[in-house]
Amino acid sequence: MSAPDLFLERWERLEIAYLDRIAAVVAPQPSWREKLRAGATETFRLVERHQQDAHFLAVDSLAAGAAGRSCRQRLAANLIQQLDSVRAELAEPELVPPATSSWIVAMFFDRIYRRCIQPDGPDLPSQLPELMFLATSAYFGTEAGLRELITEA
Amino acid sequence: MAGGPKGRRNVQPGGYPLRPEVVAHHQRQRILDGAAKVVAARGYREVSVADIVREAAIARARFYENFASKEDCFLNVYDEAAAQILETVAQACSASLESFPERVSAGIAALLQAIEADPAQARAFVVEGPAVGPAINSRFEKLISDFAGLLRSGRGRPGSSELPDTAEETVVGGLYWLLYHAMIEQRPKKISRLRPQLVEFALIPCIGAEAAAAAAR
Repeated sequence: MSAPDLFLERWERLEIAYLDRIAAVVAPQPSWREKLRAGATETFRLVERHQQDAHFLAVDSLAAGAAGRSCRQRLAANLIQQLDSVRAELAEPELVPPATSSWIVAMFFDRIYRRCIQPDGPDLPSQLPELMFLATSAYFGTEAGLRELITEA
Repeated sequence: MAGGPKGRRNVQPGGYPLRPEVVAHHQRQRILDGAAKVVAARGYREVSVADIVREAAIARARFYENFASKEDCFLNVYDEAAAQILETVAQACSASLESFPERVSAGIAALLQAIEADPAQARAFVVEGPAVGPAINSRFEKLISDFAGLLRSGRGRPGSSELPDTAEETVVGGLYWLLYHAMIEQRPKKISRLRPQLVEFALIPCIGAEAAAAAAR
């Protein structure tokens, strides 16, 4: 089996397992905020527990050329679409920039990437309130975002 | 060029030989430009020293007089690009003497202009940098931290004391990977259209989502 084939096989196995797991923890949650919190908490738990797999998905894939790019884009597009479903709950969804969910996914990815390249840095669960604050602010406004910091303090 | 065909000398228009340090600087710059171009086109992992030498139209020996390896060469490309872009953005921010949102807007406009002005260098820097491996890690951290430092000048406003210490780094990290994806989707010409959205995202922590949306319009 060629190196790109090995890469694709491992990626697909991990991607399917990850998305299945996220779907399972997100589905029972009553609101977008709770779904995001549950999905992020589970993602961070998986990253901390399966560091080699996380490194493969977040870091090694960046050096895997076209195969890595298309795999990352596919996974990101899936998560972006799930996140952006919150627009259905907004009174004026057109006031929220189109790239908001892309930016939120990018912020979560950045934290995971940096956790993988700097394993001695702060753990991911400790960064969840800040990420929830930014994500919630972007869709629901500052007051709602700040509640994420107060709740978790 | 030094090391060129036998009998040729480096002569400037006035008829005087070029100083060796001028020739050396020019050669080094050609190598860096060539490296950025081939890495942007083919990806860091797919490029060899031979490719860089061919693109720069320079003797292989000249390459090794300047750099120890492909990685060493690319790290110099990365460091120069990082320093240039940071300086461009910092200057744009300080040149605008208006409010904090206007400084952020000016900085982001300058960043996007720099990307559009030299898409090969931008792609090599933003997209291929993380493909290098462990040697890039501390540089990446510094890059995010430097840009976050510019945003941190918005601290001190009412309400900003409640923010986590790393809020600006998180915002900048998100903006970095947003631009990364815009670049790999081969949309360099459309990147400037992201400006209002990037400004809004950058301002959210310091001035709040509602004011950020108004400032970005």
